[in-house]
Amino acid sequence: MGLAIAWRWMGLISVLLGVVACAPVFTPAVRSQVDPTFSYAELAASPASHVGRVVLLAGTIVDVTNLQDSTRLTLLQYPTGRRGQPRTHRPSGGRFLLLAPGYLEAEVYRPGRALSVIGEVKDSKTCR
Amino acid sequence: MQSRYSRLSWGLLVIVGILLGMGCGRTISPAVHQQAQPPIPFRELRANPEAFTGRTVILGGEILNTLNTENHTFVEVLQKPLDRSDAPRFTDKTAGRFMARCDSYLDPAIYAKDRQVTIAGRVLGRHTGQVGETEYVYPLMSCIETHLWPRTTAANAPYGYYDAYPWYPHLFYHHLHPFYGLHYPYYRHHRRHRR
Repeated sequence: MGLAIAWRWMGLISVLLGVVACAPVFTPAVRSQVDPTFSYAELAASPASHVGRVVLLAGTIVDVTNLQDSTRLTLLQYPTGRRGQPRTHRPSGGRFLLLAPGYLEAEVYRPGRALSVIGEVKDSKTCR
Repeated sequence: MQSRYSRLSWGLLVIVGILLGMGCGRTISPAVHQQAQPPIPFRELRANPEAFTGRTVILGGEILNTLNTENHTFVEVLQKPLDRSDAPRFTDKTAGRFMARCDSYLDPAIYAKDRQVTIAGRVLGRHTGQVGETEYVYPLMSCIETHLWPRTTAANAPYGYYDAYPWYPHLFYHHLHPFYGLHYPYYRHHRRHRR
């Protein structure tokens, strides 16, 4: 009898811990704007046809540049996990550019760090 | 019988207390701490450095650059909140950069990029610099006392260690390191600057 109660408690605690560990990183309001059927391969193939779509992208930072009143980041894309985190052990889909309004501290948003972002597709750019 | 045990446990408690106390002292001297009262929030200082000219501040963070000029050493620091022993916390939280102008020569090879430093000094005004294409306003301060913290074990950890267990280096973060203070003078980069 006592053992059954103990098991029930352990079950409850592990469920709670599981929920705590999986807290989402984006607010539900923002997350709900993201199209769940979106695929990065399609976006990379034809960015022009995706302009205006709200997407969730994740990757690791390759380069950061502070512009006059925005910050430009180059990221190496990786598939997103359930929480929106980049799964860096999977093959990368290539690079994408991120234009963040305002100043992002380049010494915090350093090359190598993992980043997830929800934003609107603006344009495509050819770089060398 | 009982009293012997209780005396023993009291003794142990005192020893543990002394050991704990040794690890948790403040780094900047009490006199300077007193001058720095009441503390100025870094956000306010950065927004308007001139308003606080002459005030004593205790700031710390991660060194971004150290530059020697003829009479001074300029240390550019990314501010981080300080803990109870004046050490910068291991966090991404920052309210921006500040610039310290020290009158003594500090070697850029020692005051190297990414090292943690705590500086007490007076607010001198503002310094304007360039970060990428952004014009950046730094609060400029003098150096009364500087403390360079030992490199974290995280930096020396094998590749992959740090990424996989971001909480782990916390346990060994400089002064929390189990062997802090036992090593060579490397750990004692505390300077009182003559001004």
